[in-house]
Amino acid sequence: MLQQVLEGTEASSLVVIEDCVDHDGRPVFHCFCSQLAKRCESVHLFHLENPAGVFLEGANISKVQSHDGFSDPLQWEEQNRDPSSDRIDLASALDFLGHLKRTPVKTSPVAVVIDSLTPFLQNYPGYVICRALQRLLRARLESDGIEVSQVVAGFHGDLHDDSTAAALRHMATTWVQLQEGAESPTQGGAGFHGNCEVLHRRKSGKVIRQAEVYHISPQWSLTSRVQKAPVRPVAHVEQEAQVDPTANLTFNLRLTDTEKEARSRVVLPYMHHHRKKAPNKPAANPGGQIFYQPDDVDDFDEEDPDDDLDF
Amino acid sequence: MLRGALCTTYCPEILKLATQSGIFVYRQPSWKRKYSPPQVGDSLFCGDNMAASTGKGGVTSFQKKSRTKTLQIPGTRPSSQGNQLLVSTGVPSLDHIIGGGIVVGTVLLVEEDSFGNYARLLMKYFMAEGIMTRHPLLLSSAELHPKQLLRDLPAPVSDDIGKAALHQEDVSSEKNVEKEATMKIAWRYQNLRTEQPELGAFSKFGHYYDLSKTMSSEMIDTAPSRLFYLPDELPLEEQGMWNSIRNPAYVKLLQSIQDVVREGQFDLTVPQPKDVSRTVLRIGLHSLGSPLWGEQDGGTSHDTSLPHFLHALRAVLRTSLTACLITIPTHLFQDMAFTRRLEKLCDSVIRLESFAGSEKEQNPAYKDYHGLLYIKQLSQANSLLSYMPDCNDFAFKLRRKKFAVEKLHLPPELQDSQQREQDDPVAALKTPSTGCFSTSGKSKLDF
Amino acid sequence: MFTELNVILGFDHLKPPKGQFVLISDSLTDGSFLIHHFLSLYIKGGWKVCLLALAQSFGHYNAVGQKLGVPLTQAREKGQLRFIDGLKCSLQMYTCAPQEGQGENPLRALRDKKATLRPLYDLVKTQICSEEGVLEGPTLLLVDDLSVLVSLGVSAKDVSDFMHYCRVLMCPTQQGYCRVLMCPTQQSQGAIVSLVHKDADVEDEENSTLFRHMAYHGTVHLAVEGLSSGYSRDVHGQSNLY
Repeated sequence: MLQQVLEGTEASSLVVIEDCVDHDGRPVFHCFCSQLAKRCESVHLFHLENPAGVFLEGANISKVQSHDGFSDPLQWEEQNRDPSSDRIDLASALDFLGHLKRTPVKTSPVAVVIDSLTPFLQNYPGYVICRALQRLLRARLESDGIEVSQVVAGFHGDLHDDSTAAALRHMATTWVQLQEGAESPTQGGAGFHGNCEVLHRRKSGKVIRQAEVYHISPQWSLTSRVQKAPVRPVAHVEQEAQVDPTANLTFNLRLTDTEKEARSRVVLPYMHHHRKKAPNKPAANPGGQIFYQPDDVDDFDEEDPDDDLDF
Repeated sequence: MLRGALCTTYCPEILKLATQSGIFVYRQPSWKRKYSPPQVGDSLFCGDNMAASTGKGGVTSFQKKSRTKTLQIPGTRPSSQGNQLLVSTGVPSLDHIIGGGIVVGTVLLVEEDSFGNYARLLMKYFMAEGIMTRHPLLLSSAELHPKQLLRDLPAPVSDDIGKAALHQEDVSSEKNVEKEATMKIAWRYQNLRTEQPELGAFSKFGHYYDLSKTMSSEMIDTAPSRLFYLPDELPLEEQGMWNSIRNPAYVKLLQSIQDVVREGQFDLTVPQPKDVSRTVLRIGLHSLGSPLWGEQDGGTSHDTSLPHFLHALRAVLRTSLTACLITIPTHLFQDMAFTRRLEKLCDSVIRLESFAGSEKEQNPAYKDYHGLLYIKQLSQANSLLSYMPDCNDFAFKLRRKKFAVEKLHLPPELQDSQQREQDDPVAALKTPSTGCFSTSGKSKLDF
Repeated sequence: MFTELNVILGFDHLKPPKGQFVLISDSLTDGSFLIHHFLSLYIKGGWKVCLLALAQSFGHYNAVGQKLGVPLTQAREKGQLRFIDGLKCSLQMYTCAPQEGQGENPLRALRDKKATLRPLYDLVKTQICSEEGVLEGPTLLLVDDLSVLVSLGVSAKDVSDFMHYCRVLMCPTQQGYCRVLMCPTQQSQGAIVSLVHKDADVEDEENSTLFRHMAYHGTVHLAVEGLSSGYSRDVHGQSNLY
């Protein structure tokens, strides 16, 4: 699913990529940048936490318009302010649309990439950001002169409270939560990989939730597939954690497969009676046979006969 | 039960030693013999300031060592690595485990036991030691009037006994030799330090005190001291409301400390005339951070008054000839993180845990002791790494005449083997929650 | 041990790397020895170093520096080392002593909850930058203990903002989040090393938030941990590299 969203085969207007300290989301973000630069006519990159260069390696730079919210987000650098530079501060950055319009507008829909919402969320309440994003998505060619096909935003899940995450989750059409994945043996040192949980809402209203594994090649192409049996590693660990009480015994408590088979073949006395009721089955042993004839008073009950005994 | 065996071998010796040890305190000549004297600019905390004030800035370490100006302050000694100047806490066994003593220019934080008795005792020792070494004192308290604290200092053991003890020291070392020679069975223990149960009993500075007597009031009165009693310094109405950034009580206290440091010429940033003999100021802040200081809601992380005080205090101490002992009732703080922050802002930290009123009092494993002492952190001043004690299991006991810190030993196993606990007693020590295993636990385990 | 560490980090002791933001975190032990290590490493490497000392005095660093064969007093007189005495600023802030020289106290935020750490950043900048606001040659910014700021009541967000600006100043073109893909051609002139306490046994919300912020900023994370097996006299702990 992640790959489809990335490549544009699965339409999604607002993609939020949530990462955490243990798993850096920037490689995935990088893939979006380079893919969008291929796919769309123009990409607007609002970078607040990293220099633009981090995301542009290998991308078609001519298509990317970057807005620098990294260098001076709080306007601490007044004296050396260069009016010609494209530096934006946090307050003005929220007017995404205004920044888009200020640049020479390309005709076709554009894509907007925001490297992290975290700096916004630290300075403004969550609803302000939600509104700003909504405004951006609502822009239409006729009224605003610009149309946004896709917004991709990063988000550091462990720096915000749950309500902020919930509000954003409500807005997003695709939510990608990145997790540390097990080391994949096939891939060598090059590239990145990890697990992610994708929550995708189609326009039709269908909601897809998938756990996936992704891998990014050094050329920033991402492949993802549905995670096979995601529960298995967890169960495996639990099994190991349990102490096996039969491990170091002087006698044998285990049965080999052949022994188990032999055990299953043993006909217990009462079974013969049951077999007789199934007429098509031949008697198990042609040799000695045990006959057990239940009589009328024979109580063939399921209950534990020793139930009343007090140990 | 080898550990038990060890104890029985050692204990009689030690007890004898301890009772006879009026061990004497003030032996400047002996440390002179043993240690190279501290050097200005090299050993002192604020070496840079000192060097600058004497016009020695910018010399390499090599040069510095060749040009030494000895700084001899009574009652101090350099640390074993020679880069710290130490003063005694007044309890030699405690000095020993924290690396020799309190480093001048740093804070030793004592986290109080639940009733504060033992922490107060340490404070008294610290003050008494200051009087014996003629260090000026600064004592603050919000609870007990500092005067009362001073009136109740333990009396030093007189010099005559001290000399006897010195003699005893020689004798005992001979005994130790004998003993070592006879260790045929528990030969593995031969290399252990023989004075172990009475840690640092023969250390080269610090005095010995007799808790059963109090110091004469003449001695106390001669000592220059500044007493800070919060209700006197700051009227109650002014203590009232504050904005949680600066508690006026702490501000007042810090101002007093600064005044004393400045007036008493302990400040190393100010050049002093050469003929003035330097000495060390001892600062004792008793039960800082108790509710009486206005600590509000059990020390939540949002209250930065006390941390900021400690940080500012550190700034004062680092540039002056002072040693500071603070006791804080950290058990009153609900927020562990707050305590941890305070610890990080002090240099050395020990915590006292008294058995009084706890179930550990009944525990036979602890029957020889009155509480446990944890070393949480030791000063890193002037060195890459802090002093590392041999182990971290210490206990303290209070006898009639003295307070002492020892390595925690299990008592000797004297009972029949059939009554022996099934569990490893050490494991029980490590998890104090299962403390009473010998009474309730045994009945369940043995059947 | 320091030699091994350099090898693992890929740090050449003659040419310390540029553009790195090294984050040191310690848990149940003290990681400040690494501060000394990086201080001596970069001083020996001929860098300019700005030491923002919030936890210890100059005398302390000087004494340790002498042991490690790095005379800091000399470096300071030569101008190679710029020392910002956070303890002193904190004291002045506490006692309301008039600030020597001009300008406001860099730690004004300790008193005024609404203030940011901008004055501190301005101070750092004037210490290490030319008048045009650019670094003169390779420069290291060393912050000895960021957790002190949190302990003194500065919010994690403010500290993070401060470090963000420091990062922009020191490593503006910081490359790559993975050393495998790091592009060596285009490098910054600066580097940052800072320490955060992150004790595993207590829940310090603000400190762990600060740690996470710094972890997002950092390029190298060194975690120093006390031994899980308990106290040992000769082994202080283990360190992990992320």
